[in-house]
Amino acid sequence: MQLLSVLAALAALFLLCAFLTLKARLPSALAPLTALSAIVLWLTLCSVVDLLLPGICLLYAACLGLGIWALLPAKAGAAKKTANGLVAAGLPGKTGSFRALFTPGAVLFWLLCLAFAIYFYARQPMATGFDELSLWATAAKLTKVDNRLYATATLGTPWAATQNPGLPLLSYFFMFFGEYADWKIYLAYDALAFAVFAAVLGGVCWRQYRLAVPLAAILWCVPYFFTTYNHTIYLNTTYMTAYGDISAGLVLGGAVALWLMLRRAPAAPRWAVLPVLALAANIKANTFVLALVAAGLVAVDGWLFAGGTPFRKGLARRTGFAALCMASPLVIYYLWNVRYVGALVAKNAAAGGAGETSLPLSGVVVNGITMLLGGTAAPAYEERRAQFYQAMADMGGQFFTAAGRMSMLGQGILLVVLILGVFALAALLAPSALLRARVLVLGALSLACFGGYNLMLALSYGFIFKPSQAESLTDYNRYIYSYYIGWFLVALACLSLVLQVADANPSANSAKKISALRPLAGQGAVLLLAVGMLFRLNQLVLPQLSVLGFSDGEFSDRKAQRSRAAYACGYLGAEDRVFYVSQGDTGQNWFAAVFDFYPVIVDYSGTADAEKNIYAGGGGTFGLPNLKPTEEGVPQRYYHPYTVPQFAALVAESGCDYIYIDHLDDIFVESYAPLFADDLAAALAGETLLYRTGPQGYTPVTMEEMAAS
Amino acid sequence: MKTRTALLQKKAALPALCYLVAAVGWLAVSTWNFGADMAAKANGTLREQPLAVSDFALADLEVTGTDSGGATLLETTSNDPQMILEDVSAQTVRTVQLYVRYTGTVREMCLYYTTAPGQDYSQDRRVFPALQPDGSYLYTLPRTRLVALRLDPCSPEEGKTVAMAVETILLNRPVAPAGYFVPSWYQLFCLALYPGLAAALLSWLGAAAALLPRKR
Repeated sequence: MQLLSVLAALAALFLLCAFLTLKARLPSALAPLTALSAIVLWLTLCSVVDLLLPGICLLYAACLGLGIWALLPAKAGAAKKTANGLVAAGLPGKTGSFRALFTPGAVLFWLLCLAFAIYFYARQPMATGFDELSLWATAAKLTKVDNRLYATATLGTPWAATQNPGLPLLSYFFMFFGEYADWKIYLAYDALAFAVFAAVLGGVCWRQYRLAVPLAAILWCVPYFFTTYNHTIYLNTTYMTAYGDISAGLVLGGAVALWLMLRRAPAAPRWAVLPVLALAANIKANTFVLALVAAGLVAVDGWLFAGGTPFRKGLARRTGFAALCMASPLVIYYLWNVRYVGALVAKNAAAGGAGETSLPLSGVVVNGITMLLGGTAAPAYEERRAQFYQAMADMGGQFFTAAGRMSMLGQGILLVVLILGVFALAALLAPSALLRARVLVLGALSLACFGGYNLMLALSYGFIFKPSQAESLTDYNRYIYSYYIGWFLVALACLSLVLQVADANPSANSAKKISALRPLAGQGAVLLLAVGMLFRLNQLVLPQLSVLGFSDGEFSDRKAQRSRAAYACGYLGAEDRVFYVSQGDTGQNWFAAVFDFYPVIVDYSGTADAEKNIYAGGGGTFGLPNLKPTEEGVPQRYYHPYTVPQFAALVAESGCDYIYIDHLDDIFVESYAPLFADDLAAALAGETLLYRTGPQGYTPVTMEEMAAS
Repeated sequence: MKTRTALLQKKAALPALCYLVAAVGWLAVSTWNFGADMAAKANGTLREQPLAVSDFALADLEVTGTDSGGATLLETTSNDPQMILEDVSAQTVRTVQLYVRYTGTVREMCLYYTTAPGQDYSQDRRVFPALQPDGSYLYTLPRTRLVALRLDPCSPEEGKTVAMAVETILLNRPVAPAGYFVPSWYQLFCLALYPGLAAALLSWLGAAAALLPRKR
């Protein structure tokens, strides 16, 4: 049933892609990425006006209707027109719906989606990462359970749910039918990755399989290659994570790849790249700049290179289109990050946001650049001069030296050499001056943007992050590898395009034998790159610690935790509120409980005061003030001291109907046992997980199965 | 003859051939493994062998008794309990199946193995269990020479204990003949990718060779 529900979503996606290919003349390898982006765009617009459920119903109806219309056998005269239309679209040689729909890129996409749907259904991986439980997976679950955007959900704590909705809504599309499941999120993210891969393959035809297969192998390796730098002894969660960093990089590269392949098909609709640029801006707020980079690359390529016609011809149209490209990510940014989040933050003003910037963004940019140019900035910024320069020095160290090893190739500088090498190869092998110029411009511009991105990061570390975060360059790897992934895909797409064009018209004429050397040399390089990346991947990642061979035991703790929560929920009503106790927690178990219990609300279970920056709850260790552990460790760091009356008042004021005991320890028993009617005997004996709150003390809930065992 | 040549000249001939070779190769290797295991069974080195806890050397595990069903009760005394079979080199061990019930948070379970006497245990030489429908845990070992086996049945958190009720530990559970021929998920992935890559490589070599003489 769960598998069928996901296959239904894939079927709807297929129908939409069929419509895009057969009616809108979008090459079939490019259709999935445009379709998924358009789906996310539509759902974002619907959710912002709180009409998500009608919106998605309409979407599925549209997929069904448009797809069936596209796939219906056309009448005789119309068939010829369609056939010619398809040929004019530059689709590989043959006419006919079947051949148009099943090009290597498209087949790769559908086979991988199908394979992973079956695989994930069989293996059922679960979300265990901290940010997955605190944000990404929770957002998807809330949206699915409520059929409304997660930002509207009420949780046990004021939840600053300002994360961009792109990826959660994509997950929602895939799990609209059937029940919520973590693995459906992974399938959604992977489908997006596979759509990007298909776009890089572009118009490659079956005859060119010796280019297509190694390209596909390289693409498979990309998410691993730029994020793994160590021989792993823990599970590598690539292809089964809900974090957005890899997706952000993939969509940056995918957008530009899609554009490059679009231009190769003269009758293909140019607007197909716009939803992808919108998606790029809709993944994470801090990767919005990547969307601008993608839009800039597409806009410049489209505007500067008229493709054979004189420059001035169609200039107005090209300028308009370039403006549309830049507008796509900006519109999303304005709609979500400015308008919607602004309204949300105003509504939750009492909640308090995290990480409020004391220095305005524009001031940071202006003053930071002033400093770099040797000038003196405003006093507020001069205070941070040392932090800024130290951050730049640290970033330089990470980039140039082996201490900054962050990929399967090593540190940043080596990756840049690789990427520029791919650009150079593409430029060298380009069969025409125009194509060469385009590749060179893309390479140079993306390099300049890389410099700009690093500057932006340095400014952030210098002026926006806290000193402790700047000192340790918090999350530097995640921020920078998004750019490397996207950048590499752009270079690879250039190479893929050049080799497709060079190989498109193989000539038997002996004088043109030299021209046959070009594609051959390029294909050899691609084969070499594929073999090299696969070799490196196999060196660093063991199959049993990756998506393809992980052990069931990886998720046994999480499964046990979730089944305990589900069992407890069986004794709760939908309106009940739960106070959470999990001694020794870092907050992760609390986030997991919020996630597992929903729609039953798990209370913050503590006191939060944003103004005084005191957060004494949301998981941690409760106990009397004099019982606080002295040695350093998790219980000591996340200790919430409450006297007995204070704890009783806390529970009473929270309005909780039940207390859920996830983990007990001696500190809790010694501190608060008198508040419990049975002195926590039932919990200690493993006979119950729940206590009912009440003015006469907390009474244990009889849980039959636990009492029996 | 004409049909065969026409077939071979089709563009799909080389990939189809490579996949066919891979399929045949897979069948051949599986048949060989099946045959080798049958031979080992015949001369007695591969046999289904139920073991008790007492057959293992225990580290940081305390036997606390037996339960009503005859299962041995164990309790961990540190966060790295181990059950060791020092020398299994005289026999062939393909699988280790653990019939056990846990009380407490189990966390990581794995089976370390060594391939030479005196070799250190390494995280590169370990396998993880697959949960079976009957609740037991199945460790599948690689088909190499094995000397020592070290079972880490759980990894309790600091300061916590895990209680185990071990019914039996079965070496070399019976495998149906079909089991030799079914690839794992990872093997399936390799069977899908590498023949295609090989075909691409061969095709490239062929095209390069066709180009070279005429240049001279």
